[in-house]
Amino acid sequence: MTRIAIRRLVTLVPLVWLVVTVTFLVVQLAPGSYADTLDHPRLTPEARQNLRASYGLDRPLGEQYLRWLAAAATGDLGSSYLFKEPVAKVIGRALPPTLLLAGTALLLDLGLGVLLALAAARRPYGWVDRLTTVLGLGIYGLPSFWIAGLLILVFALGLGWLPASHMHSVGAGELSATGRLIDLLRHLLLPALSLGLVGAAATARLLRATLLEARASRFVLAATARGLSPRRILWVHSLRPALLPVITAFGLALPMVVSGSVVVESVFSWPGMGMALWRAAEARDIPLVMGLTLVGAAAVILGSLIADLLYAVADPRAREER
Amino acid sequence: MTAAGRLKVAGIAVAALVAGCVLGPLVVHPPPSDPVVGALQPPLATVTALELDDGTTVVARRVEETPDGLIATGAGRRRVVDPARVTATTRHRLWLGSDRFGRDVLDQLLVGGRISLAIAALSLVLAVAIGGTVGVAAATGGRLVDAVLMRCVDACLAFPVLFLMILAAAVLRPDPPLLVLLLGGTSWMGVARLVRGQVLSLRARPFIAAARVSGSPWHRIALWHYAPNLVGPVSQDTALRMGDLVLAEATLSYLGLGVPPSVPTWGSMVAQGHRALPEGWWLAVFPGLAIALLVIGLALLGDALQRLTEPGA
Repeated sequence: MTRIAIRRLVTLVPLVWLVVTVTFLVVQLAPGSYADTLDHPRLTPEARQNLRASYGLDRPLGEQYLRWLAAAATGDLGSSYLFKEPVAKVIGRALPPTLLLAGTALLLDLGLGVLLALAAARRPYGWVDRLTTVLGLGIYGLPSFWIAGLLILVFALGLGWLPASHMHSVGAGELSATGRLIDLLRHLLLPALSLGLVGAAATARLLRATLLEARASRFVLAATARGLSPRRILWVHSLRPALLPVITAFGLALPMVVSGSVVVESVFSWPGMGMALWRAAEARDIPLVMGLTLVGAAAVILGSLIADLLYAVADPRAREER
Repeated sequence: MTAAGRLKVAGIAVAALVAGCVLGPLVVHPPPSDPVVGALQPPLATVTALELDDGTTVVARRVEETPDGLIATGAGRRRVVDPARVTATTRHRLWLGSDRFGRDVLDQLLVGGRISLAIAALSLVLAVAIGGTVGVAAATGGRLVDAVLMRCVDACLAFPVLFLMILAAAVLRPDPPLLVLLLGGTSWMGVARLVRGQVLSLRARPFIAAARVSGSPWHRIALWHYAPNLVGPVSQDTALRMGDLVLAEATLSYLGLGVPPSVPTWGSMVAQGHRALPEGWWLAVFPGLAIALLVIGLALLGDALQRLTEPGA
């Protein structure tokens, strides 16, 4: 167990390095720089050149790259051109909302997905099964931004139950602690649903198939022969082996969740990593783009590592292999 | 339903959508548009188009004859037209309504679908080409090549791909060819894994050994023994991947990062409709449904192909 974890942690470093290098190349090779995005009519060419020099943008590419890398290795991510403060501080502000959103979405994904799959697998090809299959397929085919739009249309614009965007209401600071929490949850529900529903549909589809497979296996036959109740067989004996592929899919789905939150954040004006990346890329704020990509990539790769470890916990066979 | 039956239904649905998008604009001509009176007509509205002598058209829900002239009324707007200037009067049905500029949504959907489909299909070709080459090279190139290539695939799979794609699109402001490169260049990994696995498992089969022993040259073995056995799994994978690419293209276009705003695609239509949600629900709903229909059709097609190509399942 520990050995697998250590080995995987070691491979994490070159991967993150690769992602960061690709990002650097993309941002640098693209036309335009931060100095150009300052579209001020009274900015003379000389002043622009000075500005570029003051940010170190006039140095050769290789030097800029090595400087950034050396600083990043010591934990210094530089300071953002756009926000005029350390990148670490900007990320520190943007990370909690994204974690909250992605975490809630993942919980919804797993919770709803497992419940739906269990309901469907109780009686295969019954009406519950058919209904969840059709609904799941429908949600799978719809883009998450479309679902987000529909949720806004129905629950925010139509019924007026929930707010359509942002994380807090105006003047939320004056509410009591409970009031603020309720306000936050009300703002969280729609974005988390639009992100989580798509995942839940995929989870339910996969888990239903593996549950049906487990149902046909000999250990379920043996459990039935021992006179165990169908509920116990489904929840205890079938669920554990059936969850294995779900865990793997979960690790692979993490990049999707991170990317999906970029989209959903932009729909709901959620002040997270996605919005920050968006603004940073538009302004060619290289240090911020690099910092955000570094944290994003590390999070995704760490997530898939955790999924691997969970797999080893759930399946004794995987512990002895590699 | 049997597997063959499902294949038929899914295949017909996908083929109808594709044919509609590719051939539709050639066969069906869009009804005349009018950005003033004819804007934001709801679905199924029947409109009267009055062609005027200066070449413009007034498209109205209702036309009343009054002593002051013809009063044309649309969605909350009205215009008075001098009857002497009207050269022709035609009636049209707007099946899916009209957008803010008075354009027929159905027509836009067909034109936009053409571009969405073309981008997805071309990136798919690119992904299969890269993935196929990498997969075959890894399976046949010896241990070292295999290890290096597969580590690369693993690394690419661990990337937050859409994250990078959004980043690249935000900085590069792509035109359609670059978009194809971006989409295709980030979705070949699955194909590579699949092809490598298939080639490795085929190589251990007796009929390949028999072909080799009988002295067939390598290109003959590749073409007549490997290729036919690769078509099934790859095409099934392709159907699913195409759906993912349609979604990815829609997402980028939705964010305003895909094709330029002047070119309609399903994703950018949803984006524009989203902004106009309070004015007309149909602007966002129909392109979204078109995406869903295509993606679901492709998923069912992939599923049916899998059932057909795996006799044991």
